Amino acid sequence: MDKHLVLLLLLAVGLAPKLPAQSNQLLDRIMAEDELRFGSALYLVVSAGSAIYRTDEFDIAAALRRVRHRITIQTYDPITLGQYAFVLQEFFDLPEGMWYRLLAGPRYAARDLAHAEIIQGRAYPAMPLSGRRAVHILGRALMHMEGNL
Amino acid sequence: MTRVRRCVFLPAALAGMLMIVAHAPAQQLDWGGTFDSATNLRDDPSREDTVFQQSFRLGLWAEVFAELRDERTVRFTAEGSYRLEYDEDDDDHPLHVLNPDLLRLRASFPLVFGPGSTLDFTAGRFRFGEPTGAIWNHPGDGLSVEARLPRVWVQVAGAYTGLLLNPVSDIRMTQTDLEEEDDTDELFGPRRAIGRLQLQLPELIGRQRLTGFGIVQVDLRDPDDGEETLDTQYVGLRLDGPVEPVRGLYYEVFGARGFGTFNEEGNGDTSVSSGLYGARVRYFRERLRYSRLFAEWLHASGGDALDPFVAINAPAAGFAFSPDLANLMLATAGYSLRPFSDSASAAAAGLQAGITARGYFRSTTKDVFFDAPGVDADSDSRYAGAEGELRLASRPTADLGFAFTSAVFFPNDDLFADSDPWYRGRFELSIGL
Repeated sequence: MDKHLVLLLLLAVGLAPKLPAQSNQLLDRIMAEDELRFGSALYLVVSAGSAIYRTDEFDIAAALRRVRHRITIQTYDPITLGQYAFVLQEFFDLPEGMWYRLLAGPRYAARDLAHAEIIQGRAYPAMPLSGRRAVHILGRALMHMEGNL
Repeated sequence: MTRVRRCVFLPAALAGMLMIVAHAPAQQLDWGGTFDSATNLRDDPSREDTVFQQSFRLGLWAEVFAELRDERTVRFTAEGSYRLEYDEDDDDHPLHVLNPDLLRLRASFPLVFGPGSTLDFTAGRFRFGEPTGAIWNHPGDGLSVEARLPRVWVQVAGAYTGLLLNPVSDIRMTQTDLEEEDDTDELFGPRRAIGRLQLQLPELIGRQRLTGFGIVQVDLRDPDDGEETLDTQYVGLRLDGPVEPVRGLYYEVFGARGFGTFNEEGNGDTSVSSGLYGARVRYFRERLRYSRLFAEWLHASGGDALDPFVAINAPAAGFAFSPDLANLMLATAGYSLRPFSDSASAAAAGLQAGITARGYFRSTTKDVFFDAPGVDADSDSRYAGAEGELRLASRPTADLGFAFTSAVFFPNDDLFADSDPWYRGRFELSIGL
């Protein structure tokens, strides 16, 4: 795992609850990204996961290993909608379809989240994803887990 | 002999889909497949025993979306399918159909006529419709242009139906159309040109919408001796919207007049004038387990003051019993809900259960025209019978769905020679690939 990613994840787990001002600045910067980077996506997902799961329920390393096993992407590479959906699926408890259980990956992750109305609008797996849309999708994923969607 | 239907457009559709997949940037492309199965059991007087029918459909689709400058968008969608149908009544002749179901190019140009306006173009093979849903709702090859201005929406559409495969076409307006339906020598369905002009006032008063439309349908065939053609025109109005202040309650009323000319080769022209009227009410309450309550009244003229109504293609009036939409008054009421919407299981939470009751009446007894097997031509009864339907459906995941529909029709023994109930059951399975 590259050191930038480690730093981002440490920030996500440690910084967000303790230094909200810095965390908000980082969130603003991520929302301004026209093409969300993989590292930024992980920061969003791990921050949200750290806030809602107990430490022993949220195995970041295992989820990251599953993501890395399926997609080859570097920290500063743009992430597609499907890859982001896949990251959400692997980190959170979200609805999984028949094909996702057999062939987990970005294609069926995007389908499943669109079906659950977590992703709204067009949901082509390979389409680029802005930071603003990623935050919107993350918000709807959290709503879904709370049973409010 | 196995009946095989191939369409000359299928290679074009496949080539188009391959070109899309090969040349479109990956980020603007999506594709997939579907597998659908439908199993039917029917028991009615037109058959000696309960009949088993099975159909499978394997579909492939691709879509390309491009966003141009000034929020203008272009979207191309192609879908082709292979369908296999087996009918126990005709077990030596399973039907195979290869068909390009959809070849649609859509372009949208917002703000062309100023703020709040949009201009949309749709071209290719796609489904055409009209506001009542009971006159024309069918695929065709053509063009549709729609201009949406803040106060008025204008739509012009034109379609040709002669390139649709015969087993795919549901346009059966004349006896000649019906005779061609099972004719394996006919590759394509009835050749007709259909045009529609529609004006809509989207906010007449509050959120009430008023829609006016006119449809012209021209039969393009050259009839042989004894064959008939039918040209028709329809004009209609529809008013719909929410019933304030009751949240979730919506209504719809519509009326349409049809005019036409039958031409039977050798017997000259016959003019006809008909009518179709309807009202629908729907009530939706999400908090009460997604409850939906609906009622509908449909009146299609018979042979009294007006001639029998002839739709371009009519929707199914019922499930076990589904007469043509002519000389018919149909009262429908239904209720559906998701009984386990609180369940943690997606399959249980998404399960929708519904019941529907239908009452069938003839508009007039003066004309015996009432499309059903076993009708007593001398009967003066208007009431034809009642149908009860039960439906269970669920799509627990994005790629799996199923539905079970069962209905029983109880014919009125004053009108039907045989009063035994009719039955139909259907199980559908749908898998996204």
